[in-house]
Amino acid sequence: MIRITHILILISVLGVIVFNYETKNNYHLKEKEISKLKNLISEKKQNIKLIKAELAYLSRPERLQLIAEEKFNMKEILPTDIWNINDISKLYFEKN
Amino acid sequence: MENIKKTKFKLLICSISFFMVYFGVASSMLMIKPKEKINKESNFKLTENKLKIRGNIYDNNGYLIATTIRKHDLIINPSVLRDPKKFEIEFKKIFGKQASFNFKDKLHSDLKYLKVKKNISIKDYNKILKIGEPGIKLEESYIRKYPGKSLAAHIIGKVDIDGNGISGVEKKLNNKLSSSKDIHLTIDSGIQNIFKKLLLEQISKFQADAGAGIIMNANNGKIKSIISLPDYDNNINNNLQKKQVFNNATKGLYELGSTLKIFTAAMAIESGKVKDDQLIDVSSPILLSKSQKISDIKKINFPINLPEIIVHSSNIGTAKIATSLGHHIQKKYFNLLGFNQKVDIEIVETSLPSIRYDNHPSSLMSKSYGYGIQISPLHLSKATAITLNGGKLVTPTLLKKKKKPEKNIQVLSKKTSKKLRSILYLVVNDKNGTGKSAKSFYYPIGGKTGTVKKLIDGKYSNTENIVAFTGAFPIHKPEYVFTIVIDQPKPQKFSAMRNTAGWVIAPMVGKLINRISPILKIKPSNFLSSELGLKRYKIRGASL
Repeated sequence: MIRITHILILISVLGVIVFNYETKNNYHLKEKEISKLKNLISEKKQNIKLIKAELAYLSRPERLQLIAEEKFNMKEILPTDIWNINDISKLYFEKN
Repeated sequence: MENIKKTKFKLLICSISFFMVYFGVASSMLMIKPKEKINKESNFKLTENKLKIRGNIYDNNGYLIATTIRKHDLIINPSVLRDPKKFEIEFKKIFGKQASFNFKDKLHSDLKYLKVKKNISIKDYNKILKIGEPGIKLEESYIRKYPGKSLAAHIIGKVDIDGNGISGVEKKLNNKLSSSKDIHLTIDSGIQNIFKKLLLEQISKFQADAGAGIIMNANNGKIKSIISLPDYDNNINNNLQKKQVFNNATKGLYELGSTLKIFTAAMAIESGKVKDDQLIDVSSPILLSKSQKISDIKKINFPINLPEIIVHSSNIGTAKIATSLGHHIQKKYFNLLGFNQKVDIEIVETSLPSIRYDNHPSSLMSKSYGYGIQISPLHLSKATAITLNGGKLVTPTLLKKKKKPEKNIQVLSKKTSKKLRSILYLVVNDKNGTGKSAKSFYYPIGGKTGTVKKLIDGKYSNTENIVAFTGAFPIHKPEYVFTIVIDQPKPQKFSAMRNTAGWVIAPMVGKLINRISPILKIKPSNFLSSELGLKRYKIRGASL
């Protein structure tokens, strides 16, 4: 009887040790993964910043004006060109 | 027996201590501690969080004006380089033959550190690594970039190599920016661009030296645009001339001439010393001394009232009004309008006005029409806003969100303000007005022109002018004030050899307001003075 309990305890202790090792190892692997992901995030964030700066550079008013005038032959907007949606409906009802 | 007991006891102690150690070790194995530093790589990256990256600056619409981006420089250690020739060949293969390779001699030297190429991509870095030479590495650094280039360069300012602000908003709000906080300005990049283009056009048409312009909300002081010309690309640090970097709009001090007649009229009406219909004789010049006299360009042979004095821009009339006011009232109102202090704004480039105060009547008179008083265009903008917005104090600001709500301080009465709006409406919209070329077909504009002889080495030049224009739109219910100053416009054939504000600046005012008003969400309005609710003053022509 005593021997069986001894063996059972020994087996369970071994089991716990193996389980513990696995968990710990997994944990550290995940930790590495997290730190890698964190690096990746900061890397991507930096890239996003760079792209945003590039976008701002490309969409600076000076450049857009040049493109609008030269490539698309667009003209300056007159104050009377801008209509409120309510004004349009009013005009429609006044006519009819 | 005694011995056995003793041994048993010893054994017990041993086994207890053994179990304690065992449990200690076992429990420490069970616990999971996070490792502080996992690997060198992550440790290296962690610097980014410690090193606080400077905050961005945005305009009113969220357009990115200033940002900090990371760049990688390629560093080599020539002392451990095995085959410099091979490195050179491979380097040229990767970056193209045009790539500068001016460090050939250093490559063979015993240097430990050599910056080979600035700002390289990770892709190129990997290619460089494949050359297989030791001592190649990347160095990470951060640089400040201004995507808008010269757009609002004077306001934004610059940072030094260490990333500390040295001018403009970058300096004034350095604490906030360096703790990674973003800043949102009231500047509108679109308006900034339109304004700059128009001002530049006038400057080149009249071969002028410099210019400045401000557009500000008349009620809460939020600045939509500040232009100072000549300007510079904010990303470039070399070969900048003083003239380019100097902020004419906020730091430059000028005698702004007749534009100051607005305030003389305001103090006359507010103090009740001069009535609107009181007639003043302006037919003969005022002799101050043998060499000095006050005269008008347009001679008017009959007595005229205050609105007519302003519309015709009579120096004699304004000087006479000032005499009836006296030194005390003039100084009091100049102080109320903010001419006794720097304008409190979120940039460092501001100036204290230089005003000549003495008891001589000539100084009182000349200040009433803008000589002997040097203020910045920003001062003029602020004072114009106060005078025309109903008399409320305005504090110019560049920040979208101001912490403290402004106190409602009444500097001038609403009545005085309305009278001045009515007069300034006529300066632009009456056929006798000096600023009639500023008229817009869509919006009622009001303003005042100013042309001064430039003070060069203590003497007033007979050829060089400074011209100014300040006003508000829509004038019946001012939402924005504008101030434009152009330094030394030259007479041109197309302007009938004239270089006065009415010829140089007025034509751009109407154009400017037509273009920016839709952006500022101001609807076009009908504008007969009767419909606008302005006072109707009758202006008689110079010759009856």
